[in-house]
Amino acid sequence: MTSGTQRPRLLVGGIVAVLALAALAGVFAWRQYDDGKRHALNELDARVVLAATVFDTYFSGELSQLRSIAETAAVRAGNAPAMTAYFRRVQPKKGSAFSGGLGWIDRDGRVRASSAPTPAGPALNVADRGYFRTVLASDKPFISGGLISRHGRRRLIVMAVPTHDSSGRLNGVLAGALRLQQAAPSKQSVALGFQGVVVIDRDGQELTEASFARPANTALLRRMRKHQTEVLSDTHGLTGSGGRVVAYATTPLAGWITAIDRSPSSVFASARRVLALQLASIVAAALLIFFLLIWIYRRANRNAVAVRRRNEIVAELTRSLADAYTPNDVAAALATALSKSFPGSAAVVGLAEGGRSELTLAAVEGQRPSTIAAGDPVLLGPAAEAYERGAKQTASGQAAVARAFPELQRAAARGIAAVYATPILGRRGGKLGAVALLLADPVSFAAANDAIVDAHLEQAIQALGRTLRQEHEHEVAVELQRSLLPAELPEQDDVSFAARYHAGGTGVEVGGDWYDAVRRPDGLLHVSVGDVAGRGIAAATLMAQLRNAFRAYAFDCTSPAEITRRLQRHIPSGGMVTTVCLTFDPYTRRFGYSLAGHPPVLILDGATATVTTHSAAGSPPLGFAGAEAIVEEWLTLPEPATVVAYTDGLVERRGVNIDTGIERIVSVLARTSGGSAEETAEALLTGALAKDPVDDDAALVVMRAAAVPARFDVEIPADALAMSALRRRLDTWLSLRGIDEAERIDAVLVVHEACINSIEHGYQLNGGTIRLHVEHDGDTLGISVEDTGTWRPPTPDPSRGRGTQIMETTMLATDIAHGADGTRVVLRQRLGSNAGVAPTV
Amino acid sequence: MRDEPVFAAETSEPEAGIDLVVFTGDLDFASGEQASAALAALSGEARRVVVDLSGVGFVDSSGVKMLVAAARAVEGEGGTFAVCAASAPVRRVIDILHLDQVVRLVETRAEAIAAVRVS
Repeated sequence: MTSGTQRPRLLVGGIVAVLALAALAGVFAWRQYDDGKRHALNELDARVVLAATVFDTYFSGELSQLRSIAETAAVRAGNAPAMTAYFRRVQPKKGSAFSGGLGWIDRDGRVRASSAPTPAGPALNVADRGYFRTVLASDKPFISGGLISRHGRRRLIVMAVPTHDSSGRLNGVLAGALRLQQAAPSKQSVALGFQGVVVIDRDGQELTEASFARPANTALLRRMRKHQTEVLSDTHGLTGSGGRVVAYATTPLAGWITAIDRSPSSVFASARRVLALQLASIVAAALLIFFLLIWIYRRANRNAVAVRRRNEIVAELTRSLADAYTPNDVAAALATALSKSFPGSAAVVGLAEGGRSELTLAAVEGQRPSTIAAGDPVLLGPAAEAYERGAKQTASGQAAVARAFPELQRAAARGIAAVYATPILGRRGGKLGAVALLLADPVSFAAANDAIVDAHLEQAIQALGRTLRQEHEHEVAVELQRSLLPAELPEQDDVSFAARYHAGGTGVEVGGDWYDAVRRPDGLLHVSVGDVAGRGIAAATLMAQLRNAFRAYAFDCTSPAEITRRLQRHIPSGGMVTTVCLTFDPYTRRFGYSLAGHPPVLILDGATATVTTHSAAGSPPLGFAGAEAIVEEWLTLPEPATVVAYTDGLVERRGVNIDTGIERIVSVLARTSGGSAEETAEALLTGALAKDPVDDDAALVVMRAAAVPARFDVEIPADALAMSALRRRLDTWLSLRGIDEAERIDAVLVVHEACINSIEHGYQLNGGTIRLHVEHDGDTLGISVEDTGTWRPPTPDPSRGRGTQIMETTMLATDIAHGADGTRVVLRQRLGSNAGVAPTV
Repeated sequence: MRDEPVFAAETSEPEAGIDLVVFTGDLDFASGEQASAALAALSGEARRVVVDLSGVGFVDSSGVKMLVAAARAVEGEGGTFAVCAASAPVRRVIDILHLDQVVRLVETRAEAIAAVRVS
C-alpha cells in the first residue's frame, strides 16, 4: 500500500497523463479535420470544374451541330422555305437539341426561317441582339447570355454560328435557342454535391435565377472574371454575406461561370462530423479513464483510511493494555478496541480466571443490542459457545445465529443478526476466555476479519498473561498479608468485632497495616490498629513483630498508653508507625485509648445515632514520640456503642484533606446505627471506597459493645493484691446491671471471701488462677469461684469461720466442693427481697 | 487502669493519751498486715485508741479479724478501743459477724474520742 502523501501525487500524475493523451488525440483529430476540409474544398473545386467542362462539352456539341446545319445547301442558298422545312425536320417540336427552336437570321437581322411556327406579320427582327451582332462582326460562333424571348417571354440562351453562301460570303446567322427551365434542385444534384450551384453568364446574370438577377458581390464577380477558376474558403459570397465557401470555374466557350457558394458548415459537414465524433470519443475515453482513476483512488483511499483507523485502534489498545493491571482491565481494553474496529457491534469479553472452566462476563463495550439488558447472561452466550468448542463460531442472519447459538434463541436476543465469536487461546494453548461480536445487522465475516480480530487478540493475550501473573502474585501478597493478621477476633460479653483489610493498589508488595484484638482472661479487651510506613517485606515483618508484641503486652498491661509505649521499643531507627490502642472493659464500659500519629477514634452512640471523634490522647507516631508524650484518655461508652479504629488508607486520598475522608466515614457510621459490627465494617469500607479507589492499604476494626453482659466471667490471678480491682469492677458491673447497693455489698463481699479462701487455702499463697463467674438472672445472682489448688483444711481458726459465716449469712445457698483438681464454691444470692441488712450510711 | 486506692494508716494524737489511727483504702487480706502493724506500733499500757474507718470502703473478714484482735489486745491491757465512721460495706461485715458486741462502734470521730476518754 502506498503511503498517504504519494497517493494524491499518483492520482494527479494519472490525470495529467490522461489529459496529455487526450490532447495528442485531439491534435491528430484536428489535423484530420484539416485534411477533411481540404478534401472537401478540392471536391468542391472538382465539382465546379466538372460542371464547367460538362457545359463546355455540351455547347461545343451544339455549336458543331449548328455548324453542320449551316453547311447544308438550303442554308448556303439562303432559301428560307427550304430551311424552314429542314429546320422542322431537324428540330421537331419538343425536340431535345434546341429546345428554344432553330432559326436563320439574315444579315439585316430578320428571322427568315424558324423551326417554330412562323408568326403572322412581318418577320421578327433581332438585329439589336448582342449575339447577332457579335457573330456578324466576328464571323465566329457565339453563345449568348440569358435572354428573354420576344415571343412568349421565355428565358433562353442562344447559340449562334455564321452562315456562308456557296461563295463563302457571310450571308446570315444560324441561331439555336436553349430554353432555360427553372428546376428545383433534384435529389440527384444534391447527392452529387451540386447543391448551391450558381451559373453566371458572360453578362453577369445568374442563369439559375428566374429573373437573371446579378450577384450583389460585384467584387467577387470581377475576381471570377479575372481568375477563371478558384476555390475560396471563408470569403464573401455572391450575395455579399461573409464566411462563405465559394468555388468557381469558367466555361471558355460560353463564358459561363459555374460557382458553388455554400456555408462552411455544409461544405465541411462531413469533416466536422468526423471531428466531432473523434473529439467525443476522446472526451469519452478520457472521462472514462478519469473516473476509473478517481474510483481506484477513492477505493484505495478508503482502504488506507480503514487501515489507518485500525492501526490507531490497535495502537490505542496497546496503550490501554500497558496500563492494565488486572485481567478485567485487559478485557475492557480489548472489548473497547474490538467494538471500535467493528462499528455497530457489541464486543463481549468473557474470561475464565484462575483456571476455572466457567466463563464469566468481564467486559461489554460498543452498541449493546437494545433488546438485551446490561446484565443479561445471554450476552455471554456466543462467547461461551466459542469457549466451550474451543473454535471460532460465526453466523450471519437471525436464523443462522439462532441455529449456531442456541442461547440466542431467547426472545431478548432476537435483535442479533450476526455473531463472530472466538476463544482466547493462551501461548500454551490454554483457553483463557472468549470474545464475541454481536451485531444487529447481518454481516458476513470475511477472512480479513479474522486477521483484524487476531491482531487484537494477540496483544490482549500477552497482556492477559501478564495481568494474570500479576493478579496471582498480588493474591499471594494479599494472602501473605492476611496470614499476618488474626483469623478471628474475640466474641464474648456482648462485644463483637469486625475487621477489614483492604489491599490497596494491585502490586505484589505487602502492606504494613495491621489490626488485632485480644480478650484478656480478666475480660479486658485490647484492640490494636496500626500502619507501618512503607510497603514490602520490611514493612510486613515489622508489622508482624508489632502485632505479636501487642499481644504479649496486652496480657501484661491494662493501660493502652503503656502498651503503646512498649510497642515503640520495637521501632527500628528511622522507622515510623502510626497506631492506636483501645482498651475496653465490657463489665464497666470503661473505654480507654491511646493514639500515636493515628487518625481519631470514632464512637457511635447507638441510642442517639451521634458519632464523636476522639483524638485528645494523641502523640506523634511511634519512632518520633517521647515515652511521656504517649498518653491515654478514659471514658465510659454509651449503651449500645460502636467504636471504629482504622488506618489512614481508609480516609486519605491524594489531594484531598484527610478531614474530608474522616467526615465521610463519620456520616456513614452515623447511618449504620443499630447494625452489627460486620454490617458496620462493610458499610464503612464501601462508603470509604465508593468515591475513589484506595491506592494505600486500609485496615479497619469495628467494635460493637451492645449492652452490659448478664454474665461476669473472668479469670484472675490468685493474688490478694488483685482483689481490690476485681471488687471495683464487679461492683460497677452489678451497679450497671441495676442491682441495689446493699445487695452489691453482699455480692462483692462473698466473692472476695471466696477468692481469698482460694488464695489462702487453695493455693497456699503460692499463686494460681481463679475463675470467677457471676450470672445475673432475673432475681438471682449465681456466683461460682473455682480454683485448681489443693485445698488444705484450715486449722481451727475462728476467723476463717467468719468467711464461711459471711457467705452463709448473705447467700441463699452456699456450696463448697473440694475436689482433687481444685475447689469450687457455688453461691446463690436472692435479689430484690432486701434480705440483707440495710446499709446504715 | 485507674488509680488503685492505696492502703494507708496514719497515726496521730488528737489529745493527750488518745491515739487516733486513720485508715484509708480497703482493709482486707492484702492490707491486713500493714494495718495490724500500725496498730501494734501503739505500745504502752492502758492506751486509748480510736480507729477512724471513714476512708475505708471495704473490709473483709481478715480486716475485721485484725480489728477485733487489736481491740482485744488494747482492752486486755486495760485500755479502751473504739471504731468510728464505718461505711456501709464495713458496717455490713460487722453486722453479719455480730462484732458490734465485741468492738465499740460509733458514728463520729468525736463520739469515739469521747467514748475512749470517758472509760
